[in-house]
Amino acid sequence: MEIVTEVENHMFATDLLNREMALSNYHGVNTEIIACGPNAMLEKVAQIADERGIPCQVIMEILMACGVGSCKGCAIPKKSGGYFHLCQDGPALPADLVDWEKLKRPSVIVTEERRVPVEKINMGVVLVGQSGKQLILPSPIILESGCLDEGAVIDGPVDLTYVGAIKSKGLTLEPRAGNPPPRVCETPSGMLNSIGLENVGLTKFISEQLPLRKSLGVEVIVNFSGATVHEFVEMAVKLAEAGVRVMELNLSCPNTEKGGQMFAVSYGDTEEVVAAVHRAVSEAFLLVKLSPMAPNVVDIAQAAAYSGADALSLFNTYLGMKIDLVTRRPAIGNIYGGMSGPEVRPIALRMVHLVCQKVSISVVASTGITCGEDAAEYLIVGAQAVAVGAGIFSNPNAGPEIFHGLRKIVSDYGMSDIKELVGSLIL
Amino acid sequence: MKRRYFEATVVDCQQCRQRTNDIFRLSLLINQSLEAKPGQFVTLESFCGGKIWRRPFSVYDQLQDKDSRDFSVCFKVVGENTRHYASLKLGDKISVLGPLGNPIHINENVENHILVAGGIGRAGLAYLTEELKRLDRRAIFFMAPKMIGKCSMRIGSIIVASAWRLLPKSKITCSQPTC
Repeated sequence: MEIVTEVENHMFATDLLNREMALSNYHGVNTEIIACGPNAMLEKVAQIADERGIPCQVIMEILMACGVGSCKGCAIPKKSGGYFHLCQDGPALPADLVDWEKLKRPSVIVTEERRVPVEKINMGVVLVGQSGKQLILPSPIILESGCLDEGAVIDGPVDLTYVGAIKSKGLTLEPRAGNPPPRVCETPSGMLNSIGLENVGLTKFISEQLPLRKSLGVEVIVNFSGATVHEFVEMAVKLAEAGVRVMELNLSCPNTEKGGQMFAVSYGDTEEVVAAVHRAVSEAFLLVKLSPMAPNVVDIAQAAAYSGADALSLFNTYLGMKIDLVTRRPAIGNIYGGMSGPEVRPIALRMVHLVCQKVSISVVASTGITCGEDAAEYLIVGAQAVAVGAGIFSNPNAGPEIFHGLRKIVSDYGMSDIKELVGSLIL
Repeated sequence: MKRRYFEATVVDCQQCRQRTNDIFRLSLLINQSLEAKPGQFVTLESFCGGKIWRRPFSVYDQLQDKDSRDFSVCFKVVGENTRHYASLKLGDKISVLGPLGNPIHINENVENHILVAGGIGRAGLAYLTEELKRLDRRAIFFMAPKMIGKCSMRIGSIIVASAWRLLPKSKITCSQPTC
């Protein structure tokens, strides 16, 4: 009989099993194998057991919502068709009845030796617009409109290192005082806001806030809203005259000439306003910020792209509601408020995926980004850059943290450039 | 047996001496017996806002005394909730749903039980091995050699009953108990 005096450290449990099988005369009549571990291991054990005709049970795991047989989420495919439910039929299942092929979802994370050191990874992005116009950013992280006052940077504590650009608070032609309170409330994993575009107005912005913002040392994207097409054009021209080269049109505002319907829910209105602004300030790099409230976001995105947009900002907020139970009134004074935070991210992510499949201009994605992983999800479905909004409220270091988190993910995939992540979704 | 929803009191949460320091065993006390059999699992509540699912864990052990009201789960820290469970102390409360799933059927006619564990999978087999010991069945337990000597799980030597055959020490891949 073979006596083993040393154990090799690189062996897996299945190697030990194989060795044992070879050494002894096990057969199906008097032996049973029970295994528990990752699916790749269980599949191997199932194979070994099958080769020797030995009955084998595998204790499996899978994500489950309920554990008691209600949700039907814990489905394990059967070779004969249909599914086991792990919480009812398992957790131990007959290994020979499991369809291992259908369970395969291989990891794309590479071993450490194959990773590029993070310092060598290129994180700069170039958003390419119409007629070769470019917006070159040292980092794909942008800080969102309405979530960053200059004071938050100058007096602290918001950290702009590793941030590629910042957007200004949404401007309107005339100053606006904003909505009556309550303007903000918290939701299970996010918030609602109905600030009402409180801002100092275009003139005061150009004379006072713009220089201050420019002094912060990162690219400034000026976001603005008009009540009419003409107002959008007037603002764009004035901003261009003041030296603003990167502009973002907020189309989630009401078109007062069309009964107050949002620009961004109408194909025709979107076409009209984007084309007019593009004509008026053709040198400017134009981002167009769309609303997720449109029933046909892909069509609206295409309208903007065909009319001269250099990039799309996806998205402004989805409307939500909350009730204050003490007063039995809406928690937001304006009744509904725009939703921000992780709870809305899946909605935005799906829409970004849909749009990116149908337009070829650059996309800057936002909604619910709190960490590198969240940012990576958006890049994987096709966005070239991301904007962080409400995430900066609880974490003033969100910029650098998300940057480093995202860069690590690029490294984990064995990639050397953030560009490789864009649109790398595996279907 | 009937699944029930308990409020459990934490007895303790001990770190298992491992190659890495992220494996813990959480011991819980409830007001009646869980009546869990090997292979079954429980779900624990989520303490982290935004995470709405209960978390499933195999029952690691349960004293066989029919009145015993305590049991434990063994887990690896992989996220916010497991990190929180690792910090639970004597007297803390946690809701438990169980016992869930089907018990593993121990076939009367089987002479040799071969158990194979990969990674934290050994937590899923622990209760079964205790039961096999209790029933005086012949069994051998395989897990990756890198766990030898460093693993502290209540597996113990489970080459039981009459000697299976002479096995040199190096083939027994789990060593000291006490987790």
